Amino acid sequence: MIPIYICDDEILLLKQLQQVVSDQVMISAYDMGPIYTFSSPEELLSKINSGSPRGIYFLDIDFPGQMNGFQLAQRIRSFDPRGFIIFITGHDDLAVETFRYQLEAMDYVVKGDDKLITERIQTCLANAEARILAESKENTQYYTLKISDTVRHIPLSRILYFEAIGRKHLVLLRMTDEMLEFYGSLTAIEEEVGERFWRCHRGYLVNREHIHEIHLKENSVELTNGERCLLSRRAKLNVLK
Amino acid sequence: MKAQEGIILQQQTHLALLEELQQEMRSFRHDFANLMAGVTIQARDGDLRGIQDFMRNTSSYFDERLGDEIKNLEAVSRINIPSLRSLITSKMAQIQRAGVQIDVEILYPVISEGIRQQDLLRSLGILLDNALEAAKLSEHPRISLVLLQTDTELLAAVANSYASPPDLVEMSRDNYTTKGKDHGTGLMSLRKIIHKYPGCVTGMNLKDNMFRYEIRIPL
Repeated sequence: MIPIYICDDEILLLKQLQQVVSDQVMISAYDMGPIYTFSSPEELLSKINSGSPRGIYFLDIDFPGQMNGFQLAQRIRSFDPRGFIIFITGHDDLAVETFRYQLEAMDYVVKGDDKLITERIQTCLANAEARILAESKENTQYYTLKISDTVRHIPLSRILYFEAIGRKHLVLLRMTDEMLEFYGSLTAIEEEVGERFWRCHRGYLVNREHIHEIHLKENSVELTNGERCLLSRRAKLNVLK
Repeated sequence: MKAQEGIILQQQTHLALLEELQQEMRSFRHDFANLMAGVTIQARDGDLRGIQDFMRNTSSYFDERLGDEIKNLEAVSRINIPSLRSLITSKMAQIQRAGVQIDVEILYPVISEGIRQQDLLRSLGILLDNALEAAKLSEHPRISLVLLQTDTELLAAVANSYASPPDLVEMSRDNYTTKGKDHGTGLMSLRKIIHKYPGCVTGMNLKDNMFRYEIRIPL
Protein backbone atom coordinates (compact mmCIF):
# COMPACT_ATOMS: atom_id res chain seq x y z
CA MET A 1 0.00 0.00 0.00
CA ILE A 2 1.35 3.33 -1.04
CA PRO A 3 0.54 6.07 1.45
CA ILE A 4 -0.83 9.38 0.22
CA TYR A 5 0.02 12.65 1.93
CA ILE A 6 -1.89 15.86 1.31
CA CYS A 7 -0.63 19.18 2.63
CA ASP A 8 -2.50 22.46 2.24
CA ASP A 9 -3.18 25.27 4.67
CA GLU A 10 -6.74 25.84 3.42
CA ILE A 11 -8.84 23.49 5.51
CA LEU A 12 -11.77 23.39 3.10
CA LEU A 13 -9.56 22.61 0.15
CA LEU A 14 -7.70 20.01 2.19
CA LYS A 15 -10.95 18.22 2.94
CA GLN A 16 -12.05 18.45 -0.68
CA LEU A 17 -8.77 17.00 -1.92
CA GLN A 18 -8.95 14.19 0.60
CA GLN A 19 -12.43 13.34 -0.61
CA VAL A 20 -11.53 13.41 -4.28
CA VAL A 21 -8.38 11.35 -3.79
CA SER A 22 -10.16 8.83 -1.61
CA ASP A 23 -12.98 8.46 -4.15
CA GLN A 24 -10.56 7.98 -7.02
CA VAL A 25 -8.53 5.40 -5.18
CA MET A 26 -11.68 3.46 -4.44
CA ILE A 27 -13.15 3.76 -7.92
CA SER A 28 -9.96 2.58 -9.58
CA ALA A 29 -9.12 0.11 -6.83
CA TYR A 30 -5.56 1.33 -6.52
CA ASP A 31 -3.36 -0.25 -3.90
CA MET A 32 -2.89 3.11 -2.22
CA GLY A 33 -3.44 4.39 1.27
CA PRO A 34 -3.81 5.44 4.01
CA ILE A 35 -4.50 9.06 3.13
CA TYR A 36 -2.97 11.54 5.56
CA THR A 37 -3.82 15.23 5.65
CA PHE A 38 -1.72 18.07 7.06
CA SER A 39 -2.24 21.80 7.18
CA SER A 40 1.42 22.71 7.49
CA PRO A 41 4.79 21.52 6.15
CA GLU A 42 6.07 20.92 9.68
CA GLU A 43 3.23 18.54 10.42
CA LEU A 44 3.95 16.52 7.31
CA LEU A 45 7.69 16.38 7.98
CA SER A 46 7.12 15.15 11.50
CA LYS A 47 5.22 12.21 10.08
CA ILE A 48 7.81 10.88 7.67
CA ASN A 49 11.39 9.77 8.10
CA SER A 50 13.98 7.81 6.17
CA GLY A 51 12.27 4.57 7.09
CA SER A 52 8.99 5.56 5.50
CA PRO A 53 7.78 3.71 2.42
CA ARG A 54 7.57 5.43 -0.90
CA GLY A 55 4.57 7.71 -1.06
CA ILE A 56 2.45 10.05 -3.13
CA TYR A 57 2.48 13.67 -2.03
CA PHE A 58 0.01 16.41 -2.92
CA LEU A 59 1.60 19.68 -1.80
CA ASP A 60 0.38 23.22 -1.77
CA ILE A 61 3.02 25.72 -2.86
CA ASP A 62 2.28 28.73 -0.70
CA PHE A 63 2.38 28.51 3.09
CA PRO A 64 2.53 32.07 4.37
CA GLY A 65 5.23 32.48 6.98
CA GLN A 66 6.59 28.96 6.57
CA MET A 67 8.71 27.06 4.07
CA ASN A 68 7.17 26.92 0.61
CA GLY A 69 6.07 23.84 -1.27
CA PHE A 70 9.35 23.52 -3.15
CA GLN A 71 11.40 23.54 -0.01
CA LEU A 72 9.01 21.03 1.49
CA ALA A 73 9.37 18.85 -1.57
CA GLN A 74 13.14 18.97 -1.31
CA ARG A 75 12.99 17.85 2.31
CA ILE A 76 10.62 15.05 1.38
CA ARG A 77 12.98 13.98 -1.36
CA SER A 78 15.77 13.49 1.11
CA PHE A 79 13.65 10.81 2.81
CA ASP A 80 11.83 9.51 -0.22
CA PRO A 81 13.90 9.95 -3.38
CA ARG A 82 11.42 8.23 -5.59
CA GLY A 83 8.16 9.41 -4.14
CA PHE A 84 5.60 11.02 -6.41
CA ILE A 85 5.32 14.74 -5.84
CA ILE A 86 2.37 16.67 -7.15
CA PHE A 87 2.03 20.38 -6.54
CA ILE A 88 -1.30 22.09 -5.94
CA THR A 89 -1.12 25.55 -7.42
CA GLY A 90 -3.40 28.50 -7.49
CA HIS A 91 -3.55 30.70 -10.57
CA ASP A 92 -1.76 33.46 -8.77
CA ASP A 93 0.95 31.28 -7.34
CA LEU A 94 4.58 32.20 -7.48
CA ALA A 95 5.93 29.62 -9.77
CA VAL A 96 4.39 26.84 -11.75
CA GLU A 97 7.24 26.21 -14.18
CA THR A 98 10.19 26.44 -11.81
CA PHE A 99 9.39 23.15 -10.13
CA ARG A 100 10.07 21.29 -13.34
CA TYR A 101 13.70 22.23 -13.20
CA GLN A 102 14.25 22.08 -9.51
CA LEU A 103 13.38 18.60 -8.57
CA GLU A 104 11.97 15.52 -10.07
CA ALA A 105 8.39 16.52 -9.41
CA MET A 106 5.77 14.60 -11.18
CA ASP A 107 2.91 16.84 -11.88
CA TYR A 108 0.63 19.58 -10.67
CA VAL A 109 -3.02 20.19 -9.94
CA VAL A 110 -4.58 23.61 -10.35
CA LYS A 111 -6.95 24.90 -7.71
CA GLY A 112 -10.18 26.58 -8.54
CA ASP A 113 -12.29 24.51 -10.86
CA ASP A 114 -13.86 21.49 -9.19
CA LYS A 115 -14.20 19.48 -12.34
CA LEU A 116 -10.63 20.17 -13.33
CA ILE A 117 -9.33 19.20 -9.91
CA THR A 118 -11.02 15.82 -10.12
CA GLU A 119 -9.71 15.19 -13.60
CA ARG A 120 -6.18 16.18 -12.71
CA ILE A 121 -6.12 14.04 -9.61
CA GLN A 122 -7.45 11.17 -11.65
CA THR A 123 -4.62 11.61 -14.13
CA CYS A 124 -1.94 11.98 -11.48
CA LEU A 125 -3.01 8.86 -9.62
CA ALA A 126 -3.28 6.90 -12.85
CA ASN A 127 0.24 7.97 -13.83
CA ALA A 128 1.58 6.97 -10.45
CA GLU A 129 -0.13 3.61 -10.71
CA ALA A 130 1.26 3.04 -14.19
CA ARG A 131 4.78 3.87 -13.07
CA ILE A 132 4.55 1.60 -10.06
CA LEU A 133 3.32 -1.31 -12.14
CA ALA A 134 5.89 -0.78 -14.86
CA GLU A 135 8.66 -0.69 -12.33
CA SER A 136 7.66 -3.79 -10.46
CA LYS A 137 7.33 -5.86 -13.60
CA GLU A 138 10.97 -6.01 -14.46
CA ASN A 139 13.57 -5.41 -11.84
CA THR A 140 13.89 -1.85 -13.07
CA GLN A 141 17.31 -0.46 -12.89
CA TYR A 142 18.10 3.17 -12.86
CA TYR A 143 20.95 5.33 -13.93
CA THR A 144 21.48 7.86 -11.17
CA LEU A 145 22.52 11.28 -12.31
CA LYS A 146 23.40 14.14 -10.05
CA ILE A 147 22.57 17.51 -11.58
CA SER A 148 23.80 20.27 -9.28
CA ASP A 149 21.51 19.96 -6.26
CA THR A 150 19.08 17.48 -7.61
CA VAL A 151 19.35 13.82 -8.33
CA ARG A 152 17.56 12.15 -11.18
CA HIS A 153 16.79 8.49 -11.38
CA ILE A 154 16.43 7.54 -14.98
CA PRO A 155 15.06 4.09 -15.78
CA LEU A 156 17.59 2.34 -18.00
CA SER A 157 14.88 1.26 -20.40
CA ARG A 158 14.20 4.88 -21.26
CA ILE A 159 17.78 5.53 -22.30
CA LEU A 160 18.59 5.08 -25.95
CA TYR A 161 22.29 5.78 -25.73
CA PHE A 162 25.10 7.73 -24.17
CA GLU A 163 27.36 9.71 -26.46
CA ALA A 164 30.74 11.24 -25.73
CA ILE A 165 31.01 14.79 -27.01
CA GLY A 166 34.15 16.78 -27.51
CA ARG A 167 37.20 16.22 -25.42
CA LYS A 168 36.21 17.43 -22.03
CA HIS A 169 34.29 14.39 -20.79
CA LEU A 170 30.98 15.84 -21.85
CA VAL A 171 28.41 13.09 -22.16
CA LEU A 172 25.04 13.26 -23.85
CA LEU A 173 22.26 11.07 -22.52
CA ARG A 174 19.60 10.47 -25.12
CA MET A 175 16.05 9.40 -24.34
CA THR A 176 13.07 9.46 -26.65
CA ASP A 177 11.91 12.96 -25.88
CA GLU A 178 14.87 14.30 -24.03
CA MET A 179 18.57 15.04 -24.34
CA LEU A 180 20.66 15.69 -21.28
CA GLU A 181 24.29 16.72 -20.99
CA PHE A 182 26.51 15.99 -18.05
CA TYR A 183 30.18 15.38 -17.27
CA GLY A 184 31.34 11.84 -17.00
CA SER A 185 33.20 9.07 -18.77
CA LEU A 186 31.61 6.47 -20.98
CA THR A 187 33.90 3.82 -19.56
CA ALA A 188 32.72 4.47 -16.02
CA ILE A 189 29.12 4.59 -17.17
CA GLU A 190 29.60 1.35 -19.06
CA GLU A 191 30.61 -0.35 -15.84
CA GLU A 192 27.67 1.09 -14.01
CA VAL A 193 24.96 0.12 -16.45
CA GLY A 194 26.32 -3.29 -17.26
CA GLU A 195 25.34 -5.75 -19.92
CA ARG A 196 22.24 -3.97 -21.09
CA PHE A 197 24.42 -1.51 -22.92
CA TRP A 198 26.93 -2.09 -25.67
CA ARG A 199 30.00 0.05 -26.29
CA CYS A 200 29.75 -0.05 -30.03
CA HIS A 201 32.23 2.78 -30.49
CA ARG A 202 34.60 4.79 -28.37
CA GLY A 203 32.04 7.53 -28.38
CA TYR A 204 28.80 5.55 -28.06
CA LEU A 205 27.22 3.36 -25.42
CA VAL A 206 24.03 1.93 -26.82
CA ASN A 207 21.08 0.31 -25.08
CA ARG A 208 20.72 -3.12 -26.67
CA GLU A 209 16.94 -3.00 -26.20
CA HIS A 210 16.80 -0.10 -28.61
CA ILE A 211 18.91 -1.54 -31.38
CA HIS A 212 16.92 -2.02 -34.52
CA GLU A 213 19.56 -3.11 -36.97
CA ILE A 214 23.31 -3.21 -37.34
CA HIS A 215 24.63 -1.92 -40.65
CA LEU A 216 28.03 -3.51 -40.96
CA LYS A 217 28.91 -1.99 -44.31
CA GLU A 218 28.01 1.50 -43.23
CA ASN A 219 29.64 1.13 -39.83
CA SER A 220 26.56 2.20 -37.97
CA VAL A 221 24.04 0.92 -35.53
CA GLU A 222 20.46 1.86 -36.23
CA LEU A 223 18.16 2.40 -33.29
CA THR A 224 14.45 1.88 -32.91
CA ASN A 225 13.80 5.57 -33.45
CA GLY A 226 15.75 5.70 -36.67
CA GLU A 227 18.82 7.38 -35.29
CA ARG A 228 22.26 5.98 -35.97
CA CYS A 229 25.28 5.53 -33.79
CA LEU A 230 28.76 4.85 -35.07
CA LEU A 231 30.16 1.36 -35.07
CA SER A 232 33.87 0.99 -34.55
CA ARG A 233 35.99 -1.59 -36.26
CA ARG A 234 36.74 -3.32 -33.01
CA ALA A 235 33.10 -3.58 -32.05
CA LYS A 236 32.31 -4.80 -35.53
CA LEU A 237 34.74 -7.65 -35.08
CA ASN A 238 32.97 -8.63 -31.90
CA VAL A 239 29.66 -8.70 -33.67
CA LEU A 240 30.92 -10.93 -36.40
CA LYS A 241 32.38 -13.43 -34.01
CA MET B 1 28.76 56.59 -24.01
CA LYS B 2 27.64 53.14 -25.08
CA ALA B 3 26.81 52.28 -21.50
CA GLN B 4 24.70 55.36 -21.12
CA GLU B 5 22.85 54.61 -24.33
CA GLY B 6 22.20 51.15 -23.03
CA ILE B 7 20.81 52.43 -19.76
CA ILE B 8 18.58 54.91 -21.53
CA LEU B 9 17.30 52.23 -23.85
CA GLN B 10 16.54 49.95 -20.94
CA GLN B 11 14.66 52.63 -19.11
CA GLN B 12 12.69 53.52 -22.20
CA THR B 13 11.60 49.94 -22.65
CA HIS B 14 10.74 49.66 -19.00
CA LEU B 15 8.77 52.87 -19.20
CA ALA B 16 6.92 51.64 -22.24
CA LEU B 17 5.92 48.48 -20.42
CA LEU B 18 4.74 50.44 -17.43
CA GLU B 19 2.67 52.70 -19.67
CA GLU B 20 1.10 49.69 -21.28
CA LEU B 21 0.31 48.32 -17.86
CA GLN B 22 -1.28 51.60 -16.88
CA GLN B 23 -3.41 51.60 -19.98
CA GLU B 24 -4.50 48.02 -19.25
CA MET B 25 -5.50 49.02 -15.77
CA ARG B 26 -7.61 51.86 -17.07
CA SER B 27 -9.50 49.70 -19.50
CA PHE B 28 -9.81 46.98 -16.89
CA ARG B 29 -11.33 49.40 -14.44
CA HIS B 30 -13.80 50.49 -17.10
CA ASP B 31 -14.82 46.93 -17.93
CA PHE B 32 -15.03 45.92 -14.33
CA ALA B 33 -17.32 48.84 -13.55
CA ASN B 34 -19.68 47.58 -16.24
CA LEU B 35 -19.55 44.05 -14.94
CA MET B 36 -20.32 45.17 -11.41
CA ALA B 37 -23.24 47.22 -12.69
CA GLY B 38 -24.60 44.08 -14.28
CA VAL B 39 -24.29 41.93 -11.21
CA THR B 40 -25.78 44.64 -9.01
CA ILE B 41 -28.96 44.40 -11.05
CA GLN B 42 -28.91 40.61 -10.76
CA ALA B 43 -28.56 40.92 -7.00
CA ARG B 44 -31.44 43.34 -6.87
CA ASP B 45 -33.61 40.95 -8.89
CA GLY B 46 -32.64 37.97 -6.76
CA ASP B 47 -31.02 36.22 -9.69
CA LEU B 48 -28.87 33.80 -7.73
CA ARG B 49 -28.00 31.70 -10.73
CA GLY B 50 -26.82 34.75 -12.64
CA ILE B 51 -24.66 35.79 -9.73
CA GLN B 52 -23.10 32.35 -9.46
CA ASP B 53 -22.25 32.43 -13.14
CA PHE B 54 -20.75 35.85 -12.71
CA MET B 55 -18.61 34.67 -9.80
CA ARG B 56 -17.34 31.70 -11.73
CA ASN B 57 -16.51 33.72 -14.82
CA THR B 58 -14.86 36.66 -13.19
CA SER B 59 -12.90 35.07 -10.38
CA SER B 60 -9.90 34.84 -12.65
CA TYR B 61 -10.67 38.04 -14.54
CA PHE B 62 -8.14 40.15 -12.74
CA ASP B 63 -5.48 37.52 -12.98
CA GLU B 64 -6.00 37.04 -16.68
CA ARG B 65 -5.95 40.70 -17.51
CA LEU B 66 -3.36 42.14 -15.19
CA GLY B 67 -2.12 39.51 -12.82
CA ASP B 68 0.28 38.14 -15.42
CA GLU B 69 1.69 41.56 -16.30
CA ILE B 70 2.37 42.33 -12.69
CA LYS B 71 3.86 38.90 -12.05
CA ASN B 72 6.22 39.25 -14.99
CA LEU B 73 7.44 42.70 -14.06
CA GLU B 74 7.92 41.58 -10.49
CA ALA B 75 9.96 38.62 -11.68
CA VAL B 76 12.14 40.76 -13.91
CA SER B 77 12.80 43.15 -11.07
CA ARG B 78 14.65 40.33 -9.34
CA ILE B 79 17.36 40.36 -12.00
CA ASN B 80 20.15 42.38 -10.46
CA ILE B 81 22.30 42.42 -13.57
CA PRO B 82 21.22 45.55 -15.46
CA SER B 83 22.14 44.43 -18.95
CA LEU B 84 20.37 41.12 -18.43
CA ARG B 85 17.28 42.82 -17.11
CA SER B 86 17.30 45.09 -20.10
CA LEU B 87 17.61 42.19 -22.51
CA ILE B 88 14.78 40.23 -20.90
CA THR B 89 12.54 43.28 -20.75
CA SER B 90 12.97 44.07 -24.42
CA LYS B 91 12.55 40.43 -25.46
CA MET B 92 9.36 40.29 -23.39
CA ALA B 93 8.03 43.31 -25.20
CA GLN B 94 8.97 41.83 -28.55
CA ILE B 95 7.28 38.54 -27.69
CA GLN B 96 4.11 40.18 -26.48
CA ARG B 97 3.91 42.37 -29.59
CA ALA B 98 3.95 39.18 -31.64
CA GLY B 99 0.85 38.03 -29.81
CA VAL B 100 2.61 35.36 -27.81
CA GLN B 101 1.92 34.97 -24.12
CA ILE B 102 5.01 34.99 -21.98
CA ASP B 103 5.39 33.93 -18.34
CA VAL B 104 8.55 34.82 -16.51
CA GLU B 105 9.46 33.07 -13.28
CA ILE B 106 12.37 34.29 -11.24
CA LEU B 107 12.01 33.14 -7.68
CA TYR B 108 15.30 34.33 -6.27
CA PRO B 109 17.49 37.33 -7.12
CA VAL B 110 19.80 36.75 -10.05
CA ILE B 111 23.18 38.17 -9.14
CA SER B 112 25.89 36.04 -10.72
CA GLU B 113 26.39 35.43 -14.42
CA GLY B 114 28.75 32.54 -13.93
CA ILE B 115 30.11 33.09 -17.42
CA ARG B 116 31.06 36.19 -19.40
CA GLN B 117 28.12 38.54 -19.41
CA GLN B 118 28.24 38.89 -23.16
CA ASP B 119 27.96 35.15 -23.59
CA LEU B 120 25.05 34.88 -21.19
CA LEU B 121 23.21 37.65 -23.01
CA ARG B 122 23.85 36.10 -26.41
CA SER B 123 22.69 32.72 -25.16
CA LEU B 124 19.44 33.99 -23.72
CA GLY B 125 18.88 36.07 -26.81
CA ILE B 126 19.22 33.00 -29.02
CA LEU B 127 16.96 30.93 -26.78
CA LEU B 128 14.22 33.52 -26.76
CA ASP B 129 14.45 34.22 -30.48
CA ASN B 130 14.15 30.53 -31.24
CA ALA B 131 11.28 30.15 -28.85
CA LEU B 132 9.45 33.04 -30.47
CA GLU B 133 9.92 31.64 -33.98
CA ALA B 134 8.35 28.35 -32.94
CA ALA B 135 5.65 29.65 -30.65
CA LYS B 136 4.36 32.13 -33.23
CA LEU B 137 3.28 29.24 -35.42
CA SER B 138 1.51 27.28 -32.72
CA GLU B 139 -2.17 27.19 -31.90
CA HIS B 140 -1.85 28.59 -28.39
CA PRO B 141 1.36 30.60 -28.53
CA ARG B 142 3.13 30.52 -25.21
CA ILE B 143 6.64 30.98 -23.92
CA SER B 144 7.92 30.54 -20.41
CA LEU B 145 11.23 31.77 -19.07
CA VAL B 146 12.70 30.53 -15.83
CA LEU B 147 15.81 31.93 -14.23
CA LEU B 148 16.76 30.11 -11.10
CA GLN B 149 19.75 31.20 -9.08
CA THR B 150 20.89 28.92 -6.29
CA ASP B 151 24.14 28.72 -4.33
CA THR B 152 25.59 26.26 -6.76
CA GLU B 153 24.25 27.19 -10.17
CA LEU B 154 22.40 29.55 -12.44
CA LEU B 155 19.71 27.84 -14.45
CA ALA B 156 18.20 29.52 -17.49
CA ALA B 157 15.37 27.68 -19.17
CA VAL B 158 13.03 28.63 -21.97
CA ALA B 159 9.98 26.65 -22.99
CA ASN B 160 7.81 27.26 -26.03
CA SER B 161 4.69 25.88 -27.62
CA TYR B 162 5.01 24.57 -31.17
CA ALA B 163 2.93 23.70 -34.19
CA SER B 164 4.52 20.30 -34.68
CA PRO B 165 6.95 18.52 -32.37
CA PRO B 166 10.56 19.30 -33.28
CA ASP B 167 13.07 16.52 -33.78
CA LEU B 168 15.54 16.84 -30.92
CA VAL B 169 18.36 15.29 -32.85
CA GLU B 170 17.93 17.66 -35.77
CA MET B 171 17.90 20.61 -33.44
CA SER B 172 21.28 19.82 -32.03
CA ARG B 173 22.82 19.12 -35.38
CA ASP B 174 25.10 21.36 -37.32
CA ASN B 175 22.78 22.81 -39.83
CA TYR B 176 19.48 23.09 -38.07
CA THR B 177 17.24 25.60 -39.75
CA THR B 178 13.67 26.56 -39.18
CA LYS B 179 11.54 26.45 -42.25
CA GLY B 180 12.47 29.12 -44.71
CA LYS B 181 14.49 31.38 -42.48
CA ASP B 182 18.17 31.41 -41.89
CA HIS B 183 18.16 31.05 -38.14
CA GLY B 184 20.13 27.94 -38.80
CA THR B 185 23.05 28.23 -36.50
CA GLY B 186 21.18 29.63 -33.52
CA LEU B 187 21.12 26.61 -31.29
CA MET B 188 24.43 25.35 -32.52
CA SER B 189 26.10 28.67 -31.71
CA LEU B 190 24.47 28.46 -28.34
CA ARG B 191 26.00 25.08 -27.62
CA LYS B 192 29.40 26.30 -28.78
CA ILE B 193 29.20 29.24 -26.43
CA ILE B 194 28.08 27.19 -23.48
CA HIS B 195 30.55 24.39 -24.02
CA LYS B 196 33.42 26.84 -23.89
CA TYR B 197 32.95 26.85 -20.17
CA PRO B 198 33.90 23.78 -18.16
CA GLY B 199 31.02 22.36 -16.23
CA CYS B 200 28.29 24.12 -18.20
CA VAL B 201 25.66 21.91 -19.75
CA THR B 202 22.54 22.16 -21.84
CA GLY B 203 19.50 19.96 -22.03
CA MET B 204 16.28 19.81 -23.98
CA ASN B 205 13.05 17.92 -23.83
CA LEU B 206 9.49 17.68 -25.05
CA LYS B 207 6.82 17.48 -22.41
CA ASP B 208 3.23 18.62 -22.06
CA ASN B 209 3.29 20.01 -25.59
CA MET B 210 6.14 22.36 -24.84
CA PHE B 211 9.70 22.28 -26.06
CA ARG B 212 12.12 23.11 -23.26
CA TYR B 213 15.72 24.13 -23.50
CA GLU B 214 17.79 24.61 -20.39
CA ILE B 215 21.27 25.87 -19.65
CA ARG B 216 22.98 25.12 -16.34
CA ILE B 217 25.92 27.23 -15.28
CA PRO B 218 27.78 26.10 -12.18
CA LEU B 219 28.90 28.83 -9.84
